[in-house]
This record gives sequence, structure tokens and C-alpha cells, in this order.
Amino acid sequence: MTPTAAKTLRATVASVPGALSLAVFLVICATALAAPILGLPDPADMAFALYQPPSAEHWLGTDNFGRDILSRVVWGAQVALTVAVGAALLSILIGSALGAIAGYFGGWVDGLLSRVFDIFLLIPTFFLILLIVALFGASLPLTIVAIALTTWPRSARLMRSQVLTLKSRVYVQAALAAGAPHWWVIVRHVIPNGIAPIITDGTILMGMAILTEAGLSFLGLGDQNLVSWGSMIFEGQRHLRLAPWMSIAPGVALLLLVASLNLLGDSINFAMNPQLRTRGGAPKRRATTAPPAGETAPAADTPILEVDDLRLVYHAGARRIAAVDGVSFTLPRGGSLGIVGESGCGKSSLGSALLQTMPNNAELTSGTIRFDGRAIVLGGKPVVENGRSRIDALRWTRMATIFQSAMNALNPVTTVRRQMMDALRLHKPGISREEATARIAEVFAMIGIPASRMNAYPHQLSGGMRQRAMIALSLILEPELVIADEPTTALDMLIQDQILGEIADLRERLNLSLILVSHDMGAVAESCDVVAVMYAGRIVEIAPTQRIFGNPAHPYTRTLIGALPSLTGPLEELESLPATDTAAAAAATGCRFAHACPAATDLCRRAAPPAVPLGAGHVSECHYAEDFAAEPSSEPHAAPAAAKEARA
Amino acid sequence: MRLLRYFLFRLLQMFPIALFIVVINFALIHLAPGDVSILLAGEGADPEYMQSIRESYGLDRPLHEQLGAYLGQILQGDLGLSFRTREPVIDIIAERIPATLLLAGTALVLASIAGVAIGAVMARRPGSALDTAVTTLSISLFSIPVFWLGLMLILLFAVTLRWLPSSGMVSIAGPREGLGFVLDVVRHMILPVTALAAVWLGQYVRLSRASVSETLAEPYVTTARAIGFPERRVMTRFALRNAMLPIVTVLGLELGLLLSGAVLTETVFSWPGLGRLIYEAILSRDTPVIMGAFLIMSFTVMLAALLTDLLYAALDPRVRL
Amino acid sequence: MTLRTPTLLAALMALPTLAMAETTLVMPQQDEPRTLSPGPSSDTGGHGPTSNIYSHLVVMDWGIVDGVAAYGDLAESWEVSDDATTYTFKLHPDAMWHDGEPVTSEDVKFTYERIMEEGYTFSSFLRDVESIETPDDQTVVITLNKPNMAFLPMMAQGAQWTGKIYPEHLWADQEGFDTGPYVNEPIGSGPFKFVRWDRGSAVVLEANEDYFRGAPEVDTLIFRTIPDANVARAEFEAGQFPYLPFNYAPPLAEAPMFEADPEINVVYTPSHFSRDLQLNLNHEALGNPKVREAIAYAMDREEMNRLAFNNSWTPGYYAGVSSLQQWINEDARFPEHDAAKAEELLDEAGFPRGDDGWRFSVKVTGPNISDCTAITEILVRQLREVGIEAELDRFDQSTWFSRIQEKQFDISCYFGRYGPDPDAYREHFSTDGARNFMSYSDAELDELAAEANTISDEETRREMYDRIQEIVVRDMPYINVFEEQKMSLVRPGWDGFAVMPAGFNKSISWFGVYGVTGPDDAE
Repeated sequence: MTPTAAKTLRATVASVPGALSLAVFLVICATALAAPILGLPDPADMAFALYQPPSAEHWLGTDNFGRDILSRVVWGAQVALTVAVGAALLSILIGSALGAIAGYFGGWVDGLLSRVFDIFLLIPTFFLILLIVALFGASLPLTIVAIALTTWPRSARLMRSQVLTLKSRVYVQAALAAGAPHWWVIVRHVIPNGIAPIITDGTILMGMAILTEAGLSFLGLGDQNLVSWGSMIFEGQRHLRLAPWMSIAPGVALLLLVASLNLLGDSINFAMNPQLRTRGGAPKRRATTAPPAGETAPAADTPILEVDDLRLVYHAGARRIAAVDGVSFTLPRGGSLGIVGESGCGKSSLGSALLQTMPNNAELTSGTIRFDGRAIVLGGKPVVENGRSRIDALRWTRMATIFQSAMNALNPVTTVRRQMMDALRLHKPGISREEATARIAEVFAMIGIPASRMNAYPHQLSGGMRQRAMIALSLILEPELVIADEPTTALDMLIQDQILGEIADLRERLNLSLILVSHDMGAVAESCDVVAVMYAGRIVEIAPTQRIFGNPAHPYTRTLIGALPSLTGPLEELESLPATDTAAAAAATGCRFAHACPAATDLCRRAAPPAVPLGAGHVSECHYAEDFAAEPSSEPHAAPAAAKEARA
Repeated sequence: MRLLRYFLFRLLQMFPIALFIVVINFALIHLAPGDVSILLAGEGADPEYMQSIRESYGLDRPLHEQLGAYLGQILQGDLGLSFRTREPVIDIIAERIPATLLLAGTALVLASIAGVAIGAVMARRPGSALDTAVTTLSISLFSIPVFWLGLMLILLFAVTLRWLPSSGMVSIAGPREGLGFVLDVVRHMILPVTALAAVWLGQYVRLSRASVSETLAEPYVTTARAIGFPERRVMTRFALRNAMLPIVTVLGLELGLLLSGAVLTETVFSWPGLGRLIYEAILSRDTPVIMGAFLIMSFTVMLAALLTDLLYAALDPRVRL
Repeated sequence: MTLRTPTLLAALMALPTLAMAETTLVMPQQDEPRTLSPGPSSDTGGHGPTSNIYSHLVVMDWGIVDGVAAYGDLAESWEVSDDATTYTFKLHPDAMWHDGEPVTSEDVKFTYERIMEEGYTFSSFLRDVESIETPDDQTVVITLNKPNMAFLPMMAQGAQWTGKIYPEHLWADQEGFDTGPYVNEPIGSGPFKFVRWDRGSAVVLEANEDYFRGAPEVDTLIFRTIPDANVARAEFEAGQFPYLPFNYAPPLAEAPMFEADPEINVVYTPSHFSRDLQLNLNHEALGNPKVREAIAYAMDREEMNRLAFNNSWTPGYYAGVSSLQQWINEDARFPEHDAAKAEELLDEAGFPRGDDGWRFSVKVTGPNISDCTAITEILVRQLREVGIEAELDRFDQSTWFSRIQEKQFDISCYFGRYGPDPDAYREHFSTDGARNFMSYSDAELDELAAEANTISDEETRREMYDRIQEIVVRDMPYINVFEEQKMSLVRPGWDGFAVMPAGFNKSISWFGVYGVTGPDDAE
């Protein structure tokens, strides 16, 4: 068993439905295999009194010919499993082969085969099977073939989409470059790597096959020389009044087997994609807290945002992952802060924590957030005043956000104008239609979206236009603080620069406070006064922009601004691997970056570094911060430009 | 106008598929073992009569000619005569369709509405104990063989408790018009609709749960929450509206399969619909009826798929017409 | 609602019956009529109504009565010439069409001649007819071109389907019997008159007060189309109609349940049919007479009867059925169950058990009717016990039939027919017999069977058929298993249905309800 399979199995068994269904399935399999040695009467033996209700002697009673029903149910399991395994295997075999060919070769081959898959979607399959079996005679092998003949397009579609993603992979390309023939590449590389979801789907196929066979048998089209559950129910129907147990027992058996297969498939699917079980959902009710006593009215120099010791933890199964692990910073009114780090460092989680839009499996465990001097989060809990959460009162009117990947951040089925209108009217219920339209036009003009595009749906806009629409949406209510989360990802370079330039421009014009979250030092350098570098949930260095490029005092910052490829490689996604596992973090006492740091010493591995203040708002969490700070980066004044090149 | 052009275009695309289905249908019946002419002429008929039957049904012509003639007939809406009753197949089928639509349509409406609602509620609390329980239950529901569920309902409510009729659509001596007739049909519908709807309900709960939870995880839902829309509005305007798209697709396909989906249920409850007709035709090897029913059903599925496409296009602005 | 509606319905139902003190009879039938003209072709849905609207010359159902060759319907009496070629029928003088015209011999001649001209199904029964003459209004003389002892019984039996007499004065101007106004608004001379046909649900008839044998007891007769056996059964149990004919009947195993129910009478009716096994003599093993005999020994009719028929069927040990007792040769008897003897015979025949315990393998098939299904299922078991590797090989009805016609079978259950005339043996066992699926051929039998059909002396005929039965039981190309018995259910108080003794000589065809009396009449 491969490690992945073992892991999937463990995860499957970890859930109650998974464990239960696997157990039921295995018991049924074992019983079916052990049928000959269980000491049951011959299932065809008409040896007993007719129509005996269940009793100590015949646990499930006897049928119209005096046969023992328990024994027939047990032997019937063999037939059901034969059909299930036979049909599923055959279907997967045909489907994977054709799906792989379609996906691999593409072009007209794909067109033709996809058409064939489509046709099968449009055929009433059960009826087709019925027709085949009715016309060609009822036998188990024919039934299996007929089921496979109508279900293979299901596997084929799955395999096709797998192959489409697989065929660009390096090893496939390498094999081809080495001169391997196509069929060999398909059989050796493509199918084995794409088969996992198809096999998972196999459990569903098995369930379908069993139900189909049972349905056929129930219509009198089962194999007559075999004891099948469907044909037992078929027989039982005629004796429903006299001997209801004849149809009850095989039906329960059918239900158990098919349900266990379907549940198992479901559980495996969840085990392979854990987020399927928990993603989405309504926002969780969280414990709240009252406003702190003695809050003073905000003064002109009150910072727009103060964050103190913020900690955000994700729950993934039994594990707890600290994505934000004690972050503090202050953003003055009108200021701009760039938060930089690689994916998985916790920067986006930090962004979501500020707006309280984090997913349900995330939780603030500690920390305070103050907006314009008033606490909106206290001790990790949202502050509620007069029955309303303070953050809710700030949303969009004072604090808005520009989400990454605007394609999905805008409602795809509503026009851009309509979305702005909805937001506007939500917060300004009294606004007239004309006023609203005028305001929208104003913002559009400001952002540089032609008025003709106002009624477009998001998908009808180019990437840059869409991102502008997102910015327009965020500005519609004239907020004081905008949190821009990777606003330029997935845009081409030219557009990125334009958008970043526009954000910087707007900030000045509207006196916005800005937090710009990005993986890209260059992007941040252009738009922000201060840059915070995050690594593994912590701000490892924070400094005014010029300073951080000129005298980076943390080795990680140096790797970020250098043109070097990352030393650590991208950290894995939070769901699959922790940025830091809190348990692990507690056990480890050293510097988080030590494992990848070229300058790490024993001290680094032994003790967590303190926050070293380097003056002028420059702080670095490194034992050797002062040494690094003293040593300017190679081309201090050209730093932003260099970082920009690095992006290219 | 755009919709109409799209419709025509899709209709054109359906043509080869329809042809393919016709050919499959024809091939299957003629590849099958057994001599059709014996059934026509009846047991022990004299050879002359048998020959005249063969001639009038064209059974003695070469296969390709039969296929050609068959295609020509279909184009004229002529599906031939039933071997058994000598009535036009199209009439026999048409006569059965309302009963099937009534049964399966009611079940589908009930199951889809309830299923989508339950699924959507569950999607709001993913991973909760209730969600796990409902998921497990809905999987169990669609794992039940519908005919067995039907039998059990009959056993409980018709045989044991005698509350409801076990089979048929109307009472033999019941009223033929007015409210009494409607009530009588409703009484007959309860058990078959329950059986069919229960199984479909499981499917729709699952589908809706998956679809809604997927949309709830979409960034635009986060945007909506960040903007500060009330949760109700987020749910309807953003989540459900988008989640309906895949549900509509499945519903459309299901709608097409409606006519055949009830073969087993109609057989158990002796519901006088198309499914039951097919079953009877297969048992008596009434070839024209089998071929006709298969064609009609396939065409219905295609039509439903077409309408679904149109509906989808209307619902989802991203679909390019 | 669920509780109230039935009560309401019941009240509504009860009302007309009480108020009018009329007898209304609802008869369930499986198929909707295609037309109400019975002549052109056999129409399972039309037989019920038309058999009660029209009269026949002579008629007989599928053999429920001992020793009767045919019942006179319009024919009050008849004479057969000694050489069995001339049949002279005297018609009932009071017979009248529903429009008031008298029924005459010309009507009979007109009807039969048109049937022959058009080649309708019934013409096969008139194949040997040379001429039909009408010396007077009440006399019909039919002359055959060769002697045929089976003519009268076969024609009587065929008449109940497609041999009904049409009024010449209404039909003479029409093409065939399938055009014109009277196709679906029939004018007949039978006990009931046509009232209306509600397509898709019912045909309504009313009593013919001027019927020549007296007005029927039932005032209103409704043939209701109920295609489904389950529905019919549920409605019967709900009291919607008083008679559930055998074609709807539930499994015999449930008979004890019905017998225990005081609200239901179970009626068993014997028939001319048997359930038997056809053995394909082309099969490697079955071609051996010893093997066939061994199978006869291996088979246990008593066990079958217990398992499948609640011990209510009569095992068939003779090459005949007891409803035609006068033709049975009791000296020609199939062996009784003896498994040891069967094994012995199989060893002798050169089919010892192999290493796997099997001697040879056979496939057992049969028509898709419940009793044959049960018989074959049990037979497979019994054959396997003596080392014959038997397997079921079932098909839908028509595939099965074409397979046995093409002799693609080993052993098949079959519904052999012995009546209404013993000429049926010729059909079954002579080399070119239409129902000889076994590839059986015996020169002596061929000769006897051909000759017996032309012999009018009953004693001589009987001797010939006795010999035929001896030969058949000696060679065993087939083995009789059971006599068919039909089970119908009737509500107490109702009598005179075709399947009941009181109906045998009054309702005279399967579909006739002339003799039916309801509970109100009994009081």
C-alpha cells in the first residue's frame, strides 16, 4: 500500500460513517466468502416446511419452496459482490482507457470521444440495460457487461479530466522526450497517476451496479440459476401477504451493502479532500465581549489601526495550526503598510482577521484590534456594543477590502453595477436611484472604468478591468481604511503596475489608510510607507520601506528581496501542512527560520530570537539583527527596482 | 433572438445523437435472438398468414432497407403498430405518459424542493453532527432499492394497516370526475410518490449540500459578508443563486429521465404509466412498443437537456450564447 | 382524509344498489377491446363484451364438461351424418336480433361465408367446409369435403373467440366485418345489449329482455379494463367486483388464506390442458428412451404438488386429463417417483456419474407462467439429485415459444392440450404435428392418429386412441406432470360464472355471464 493510500485509509476510518461503512462492507464480504463453510443449509434445498416465519431454527424463515432464507441471503451476497466488482472493474477498465486516450490526444479524438460520452448521458441507461438483458437473455455475465457498457463514460470523463492536468507534468513530458511511444506513456505514466479518484468512484459504481442488477432481477430479468437478492424480492413480492419476511431480508441486505458502499465512497472522498466536509458554512457564532471600560474618544493623531499580539489558529481535524502567531503593529491614519511573505506565512489570515471574515475553522485565540482608537477585537473576541458587533458598524463604510482574484470575489451572476448598487443601498438605505447611479459613475470614472462597462458581468471584463471593478466596489462608500489582499495576483506585469500605481494614487487623493498584503516585495515597495515581513505566522521584520530595502536586518527579508530563489521553497498550503503547528512550536525553542537560514548558528536553533529594535521603527526578530542591519544590501538605493526585476 | 439561435444550433447538434440512438435501437432489436414474426402471427398460425404478416411488417426485406424504412417512418412520427394490440405505438405511449408525468413529476417536485432546502440548511453547518447524520441518512435513502421500499410501504400501509390502496391509479368503481376523482387519485398516489420521492430526496439533499457548501466557500460570499450583507441575503442572493446552477443541470437531466425513472416504481405499484408499459412490452416482446418507448424516452432526455441548457444560459450570464 | 374517503366511497357505492334493487355485475378484464366486432381477429379485450352481445351457432369453452362435444347456442339441435361429413343444425325459432329482426339460417351462412372469404381466424376451423346450405330459415346444413370427427368440437371451441354470428341485414353492405357503423356499436342476438363504450375504462351492457332463452338475471353488465393483476386483486379484495377470474389469480400457495376467508369462495375448474415435460429427442442423452424413463422416475409430482400447488392439483400419471375421462387409457401410466430406479436406469443407459458427480447436463425451460416456473424450478432440483446436471434456462414467452419451435431446448415445461377432441393427440405426437416439438416420430402412431379422426364409431375410435396412449407412454417423448386446474375467486352469494358448475351449461363460454346470479336474486 502506498503511503498516500494508507493515509487516506486512516483518515477514512477516523470518521464514524467511514469506519462503520467499511466494517459493514467487510463483514458482508467476509460472509459472502465464507458462505460454504458457515454450515448453512444448501440454499437451493427445498427441505423444510414452507412459509416458516423467522425462528431459532431458521433465523430469517423459509420461503415458498421451503428453502432457508438466511442461507439464500448469504449466498446472494456472492452474486451481489460479483456484479459489483465485475461491473465496476470492467467499467473502470474501458472508461480509463478511453478517457485517457481522449484527454491525452485531445483534438478530434477528444471531440469524438467526448461526444460519445455525452450521448451516454442522454440515454436512459437503466432502460438500455433492461433492453439488452431482455433481448439477449438474462445471465449474470451479460448483466455485468450491460451495466459496464452504460457506466463506463462516468469513469471516462473522470479520467479525461485527470489526464488533461497530468499530461503537462514534467515526467510525462520527459518520457515523451525520451522517445517513449504514446501508448506506453499512457499506460505507464498517465493512467497510474490519474486512477485514484476513479477508484474512489468505483465504490459508487459498485453500488449502482448492485442496484441495477437487483432492479433487473426484480423485473424477472435476473440470472435464474443464481440466488440474487433482487430475484428473492421478486419472488417475495408474490408472497408478500403470506410471507413478508421473504422480501424483507434480502431488501435489508441490499440496503446495507449499497449504503455501506456509497458511504464508504463518500468517506474516502472526504478523507482525500478534507475541506469538502467542512468548507463553506454560515459564519460561526463566536464568543463576544463587551467594550473595554475607559475608552477615550479618538483624537486626530489616533492611529487608524492598532493590532496587538494577534493570534489566529486553524483547526484541521485534531490539529491546531497557528497561522498568525502573535502579531502586533500600528498603522497611523493615512499611512500605508505592506505585509509581505510567501504563501502560507499567514499574511492573508491576518487580513481576514482584521475584517473578521476568516473561515469557521479559524479562531482568534488572543489579541486586540483597535480601529480609530476603539477596540473591535478584545482578547481575541469581537467587541459587541448595544447588541451589534462593532466591526459590523465599520464594514465597508469605514473599512473595506480589495480581495485577490477578483474573478471570484465578485458575484458572477450579477452585473458589476448592480453589485455596487446593492452595497450602496445596504449602507445608505435612503439613497435615491439617481444619487446611487451618480455615485457609481463617479467611482468608475475615478478608477478608470469606461461607463460603457458598467452593466457588464464580471466575466465580461478583462482581468485588469475586473480588478478595477473590485477596487471601485471597495471605494464606493468612501472608507478610511482599505485592506488590499494580493490585488494584483494573476494579472500580467503591465496591468499589475497600472493597478498598483492607481492604488497609490487613490490613496493620496482620498487620504486612505492602506494595508497591502502581497507576496511581492516590489509591489509593496511602490505603494507603502512601511513594510512588514511575515514568516511562519510572525512579523519577523518591520521597517520603513527605504530602510528595509537598504538595511534588511533579517536573513529571511534578505532572501525575499534578493533575486535568489527562495531557500525554503514555497510553504505548503495551510490546510495540508501547518505553517507552524502550535504543539510543535511549543516544543521547538529555536528560531522559526533556523532550518532554512544560511547563517543559522547553534544559538538560533536553541533559543527563540528576541524582537530587536533598530531605531526609526525598524524591528527585527533575529539574534543577529544588528549585524545584518549594519551590512547594507548590495544595492541599497536601487532596491525597489531590483525587487521589481526579481518579479520579472 | 440569441436564445433562439442558440436553441437551433443545439438542436442541430442533437441530430447525430438522435440518429445514433435510432440506429442502436434498431440494431439491438434485430440482433436479438428469436423470431419476431411468430409473435405476430400467433402460435400455430398457418404459414400463409405468417408470410403475409412478414410482408406487411417488412420483416423479409434486407436489414438496411428495414432500417431505411424505419427512419422514414420515424421522421413522420410513425412508430409502427404494436404487435400485441395492433394499435399505433405512438398512441399507446401517449396514453401512458400523463400517468407517469403525474407520478414522477410530483415526486420530483417534492424531492427537489425539500432536498434543496434541507441540503442548503445542512451546508450552513458543515461537519456538524446534524450534518453528518443527514448526509449519512440521505446516502442511505438513495441506497434503498426503490422497488423494495415500495413493497415495504405496501406491506405496511396497504396490507397491514389497510389505510391506502396498494396499486393502480384509480378505484375501479370510484368516481370518474370532480373532487371525488381527484381525491381518489391522490390516495393512490401517496405510496408510489413517497417511494420515489424518498430515493430522489437523498440525491437532492446531497447535491444541494455539496453545491451550497461549495458556493459558501467562494470568495464572493466572503466579499458579501465583508460588505456587511445580512446572512439571509448572503444565503439567497449569493450562495443559493449560484448553487442553483449545478442543481438545475441535474434536475434537467433528471427531468428527461423522468419517463424511464419510474419503471421499477410503476411496476411495484402497478401504476399505469410508461414504465409499466415498457415492462409489459418487454415481457411480451412487443418490439415496436419497446423501440418506440426507447426512442421517445431518449428524445425526451435530449429535449430536457436542451431546455436545461437554455435555462442555464438564462440563469448564468457566463454561458456564451 | 385517508380515513374518511373510503367510508364516503363505500356509502356512495352502496346507495344505487339499495335504491334500485337491480343487479349490476362488474367483470374485470385485462385488455381494453380493440373493436367490438369479434370476427376479424382474436381480441382478448373484446371477447368479454362480444361473447355476451353476439350468439354463436354452437360453442364450448376450453373443456370443462365431461363428454360434451359442443353446446348449442343459436343451434337448438344438430345431426351428424354417419360418415361425419354432413352437419345439419336446427336454429332456435325465437332468436331475435337486438333490433327486432329474427335470426335466420341465412345469417349463419352469410357470416361463415364472409369469414371464409376474408380469411379471418375462424376460417381455419371451417377449412374442410365444402358448402353451407339453408333449406329453410331455421336449418343450416354444412357439408365437409372429407370426414373430420374433430370438426364440431373444434369449431365450437373456436367459436367463442371469433366465430360469432352477424346479422346479414346490417352487414351485407359493409366491407368485411371491420367497417361500418356496427363495428363499435354492435347489434347481436345474445343475452345482453350494447349500451356504451367508455374508451379506456369500460364497456357497458344491459339485459336483453327478449333473449330467446329468457332474460338474464344480471341487469347491467360492465366490462372494466384492469390490465394489472395486482390492481385487480386489490380491488376484488376491496369488494369492487364479485369475481376474480383465474387469469388474475394469485399464487396457489395463498389458496389456504382465501379458503379460510368466509368472504371468499375459491373455485377450482378443471381444463383440457395439462402441464407436461417435452423432451427434445435430438439431445444426446434424452434421445435414449432409458434416460427418458429415468427422468420420469426421478420426477416427484407429489413433492411438486406440495411445494408449488398447495397439494391442490391432480398429478398427471396418464397421457390425458380427467376432464376428458372417457378418452383416458388407464393401462398406460407414467411411472411414479423412484429415485433409486432412476439412477439405475441412467447407469444402464450408459450415463454413469462422472468424477464431479454429474452424468450429463440438460437445460430446463418453460413458458413464463407461474405454475411452469415452479415446476421447472423444482424439477431442476429433482434431476440434480439423481446426478443430472440440470439448469434453468428461462426466456420471455415468445422467445421461449420460438425456441421450442426451432427445437432449441432440452426439456421444456408445456401446456399440452387433450381436447376438446382426442384429435389433439395427432397435433402433439404425429411426426408432422404442429405441436410435436420433441422430434418424435412413430409410424404406427402416425397412421393411427390420421385414421382415428375419420372414424365415427366411438368404440373403435377409443381403441385407437388407447393404443396411441400406450405408444406414447412406452416411448415417453413427453411426460405428463399435472392436470391443469384454474383457480378463481368468487364472493359468496354469486354463482353461475363460467368456471362454476352452475355456469357450465348456462354461461357456455369462458366469457358468458348469462347464467350468473347475484346475492339479491338468491333471496
